[in-house]
Amino acid sequence: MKKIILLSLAIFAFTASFAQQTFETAMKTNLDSLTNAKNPVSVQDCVNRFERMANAEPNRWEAFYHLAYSQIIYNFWLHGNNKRQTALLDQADTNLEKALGLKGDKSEIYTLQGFIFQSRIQLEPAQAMQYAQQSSELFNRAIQANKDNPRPYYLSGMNTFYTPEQFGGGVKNALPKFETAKEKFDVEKKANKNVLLPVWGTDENEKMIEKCKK
Amino acid sequence: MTKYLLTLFFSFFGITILYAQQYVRGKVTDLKNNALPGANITIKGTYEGTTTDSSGNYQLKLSNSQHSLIASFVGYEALEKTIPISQRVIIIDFKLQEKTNELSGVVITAGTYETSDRKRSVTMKPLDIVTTPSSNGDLTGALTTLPGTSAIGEDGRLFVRGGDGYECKTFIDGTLSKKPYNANVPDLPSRGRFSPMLFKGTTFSTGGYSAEYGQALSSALILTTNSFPTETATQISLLTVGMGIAQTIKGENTALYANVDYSNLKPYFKLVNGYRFNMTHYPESLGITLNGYQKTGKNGLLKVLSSFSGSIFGLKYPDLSQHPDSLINICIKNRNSYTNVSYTDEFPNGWFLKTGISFTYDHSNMDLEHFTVKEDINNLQAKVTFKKNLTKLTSLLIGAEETYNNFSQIYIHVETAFRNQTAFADYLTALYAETDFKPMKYIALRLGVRSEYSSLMHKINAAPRISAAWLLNKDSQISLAYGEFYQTPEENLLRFTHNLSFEHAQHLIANYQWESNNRILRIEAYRKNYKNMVCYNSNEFWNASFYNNEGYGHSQGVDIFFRDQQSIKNVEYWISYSYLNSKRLYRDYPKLVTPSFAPEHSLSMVGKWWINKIHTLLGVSSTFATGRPYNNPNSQNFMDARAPFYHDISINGSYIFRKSSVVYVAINNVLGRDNIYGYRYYAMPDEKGIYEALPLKSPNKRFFLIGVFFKF
Repeated sequence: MKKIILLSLAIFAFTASFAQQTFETAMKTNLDSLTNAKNPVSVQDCVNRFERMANAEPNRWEAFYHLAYSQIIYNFWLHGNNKRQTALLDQADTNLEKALGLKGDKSEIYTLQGFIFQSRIQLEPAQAMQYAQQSSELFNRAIQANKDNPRPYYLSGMNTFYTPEQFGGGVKNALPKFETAKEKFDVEKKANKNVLLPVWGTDENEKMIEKCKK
Repeated sequence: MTKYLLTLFFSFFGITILYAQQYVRGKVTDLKNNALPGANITIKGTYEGTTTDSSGNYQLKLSNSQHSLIASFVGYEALEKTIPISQRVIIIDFKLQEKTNELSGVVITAGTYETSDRKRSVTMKPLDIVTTPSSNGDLTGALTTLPGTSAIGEDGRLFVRGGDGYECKTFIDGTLSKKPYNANVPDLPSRGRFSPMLFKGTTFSTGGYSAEYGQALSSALILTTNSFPTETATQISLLTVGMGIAQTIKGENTALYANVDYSNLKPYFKLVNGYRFNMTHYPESLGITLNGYQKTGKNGLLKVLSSFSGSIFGLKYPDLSQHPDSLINICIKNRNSYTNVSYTDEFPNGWFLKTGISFTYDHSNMDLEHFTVKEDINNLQAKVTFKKNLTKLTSLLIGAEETYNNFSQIYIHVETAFRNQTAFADYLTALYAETDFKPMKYIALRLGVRSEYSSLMHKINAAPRISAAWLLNKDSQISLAYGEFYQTPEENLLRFTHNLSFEHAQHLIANYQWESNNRILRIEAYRKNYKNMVCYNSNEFWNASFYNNEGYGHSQGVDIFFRDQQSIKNVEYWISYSYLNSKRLYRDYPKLVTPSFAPEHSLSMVGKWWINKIHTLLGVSSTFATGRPYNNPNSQNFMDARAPFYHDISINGSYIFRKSSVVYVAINNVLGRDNIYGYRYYAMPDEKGIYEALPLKSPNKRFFLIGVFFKF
């Protein structure tokens, strides 16, 4: 009898650590599939997986964060379908609010909020001025919250890159931002971060540096 | 022991075997049976699930004790269904309904134009106001491109649905702004005291507004100041008519914004070759605005808005009391200060507190050569409002308001040194309550009541307000509103007698609104009944016995608004049309007539084109209004003359550099049309017995404005 109790205790302990591990593993697997997704169907599948995880783990800000990120990425794949893109970005916004409410990493969340405004410019060009301003304000806040976060530098570089040179934009002004981002990406890589924390942006930033140097 | 373990083993296995083979499949569609590919199927409470294929189908293997499936898709309401345990292969189809309005669902819209930086249900954003060409950067100027307002070029105040200028009140963070406009130079529109950039949200109600606000017969303009600033910044503006500097300092829990601006029209008028009349002192003003923020506790925010300004101008204006060609020297000086302190907090028990105090001090000195008028107004309002969501679908708002209004006027006749002083003080106490509830998902109701007591007039009133909205489908809704509105007579009427009563208006409004994919259409029909309007005899305006509340009138009409931000890339435009039929007998009117501020048809169009390549926003606006009535003393009938129609086309361009610095150029009345608003008449007839007219028009046909705004 004693053995049974021990056995069930062991099973219980195993299950508990398994749940924690499952979340991390599932997140990690899905983050990898998102990175490797090459068509809208597989990106949509990743969004759905993140959504299931977020619904099942309503106390993990990481789930809502990555869900929002995947929704922003998916929005780019839907280019031309304004209505669905807007709905996706609205939902990503709601998910980030939840992530903030769960005391998630402010710097990372502000960055994504800025990313959403940046993405809206394509959908509502008439509001470009306002959205560009709102996005850069959020990137500034993201940097204020954590100056070692490379992502707000990268995205604010994107804002600059697509602004004509005579308005303080262009390659010349964007490159230093991408380079700052690169330095911080390199530090981040060495830091051996928790797998649940965001690491996206390195490759995209590299590509932009190449583009600038051409 | 072994037996025991075996049993356990088998019972586990048995269950697994029983359920392992269960499959579920089905199809996800919208209500019209269109397949939804990419929809998410979730086994409730787990990470497990699948995504529907290109025809909306899915198949899923189930394992132990899973009870329900959830189907979800972006832009649609999620749906949950229980899995029956009996069968091996289960078919579960989902029909998803499109989400109506993610943020707010059904909202009462009758009579209100909300403008804010929220993403939905907006008709205008703060930036839209300054980039509307005909606005000249003025809030009121921009609002007159909305239907229900009349373009009254010589005045500049808001005139709403056949109501006089005094019938519209401005509220900042909930409390009254007694003198929201700068002193008016004759024939030039007055401008708002406050920059539109100070406010993050504007609710412009053209009627039927909430019981939280009172003392306005026609309209409430409800402004919300910016929230806690996000960054420390310096702004410098240089304009052809003045300059300004602003500094924002942002700390962790405290922030301060300070702005100084100076304007002088002299260089401009010198450049464009003068003014219609001879200016003895070109309009000049100096203003300081302070805005402070303090976060308190978890949710509390204290905001202080303070502004101080002084202005002066002088000109030689035709002396209408004399014969033509005679002129008098007019000199008007104004000093004004406004302070608004507001505090909002949220208590753990769910009550939301909004409280504020506003204080207006206004001193004006009008020197009209033969006589001088000095006027002082001290107005203090304190207000406290509590709000709570009683259930998910019901909310309650209660509040109280106390307003102290002290008016003093000294009239001095220069030649005879005759001096007359009138002064009075009124305490107006108001209580209000309002409840919002949604008896059904598609219906919203708001019931409110407001009661006021004036210590000066010893009068009490009670005003019910009712409104409702019914969502027809995801894009369109109908709203209805009924309300009664009371207003204390203006100070210049209470000067000679306090034996008056509240003026009264009744609003009935029906509204249809359609909104889809960045396009919005609103059609609103209304009827307003006025009664208890103050009347007097203009020949003996000092005689208290001629004052009474026997005036009355009505306004009825249709307002149409269409805005499109979708059809043309990088272009947005809006079109407003108003039909207005208004008649009233009030003040010194001898009979029921259409007042001079009520044009029958008004049409306004605004278009904006963002050219991304050169970071420039171009705007054009056009306003057309049928001629307004004026009284010609040469005619037997009162107010039977009509001015010619009004037409204006204005253009502007904003060129953005260094992210948020702007070069701004605007030209008003590009075509240079000589708009005549009406005529004023000399009081004395000439030798033929004819009263000579003086056209009432803008002093300059065109108006140019060039400005540079730097932000660091």
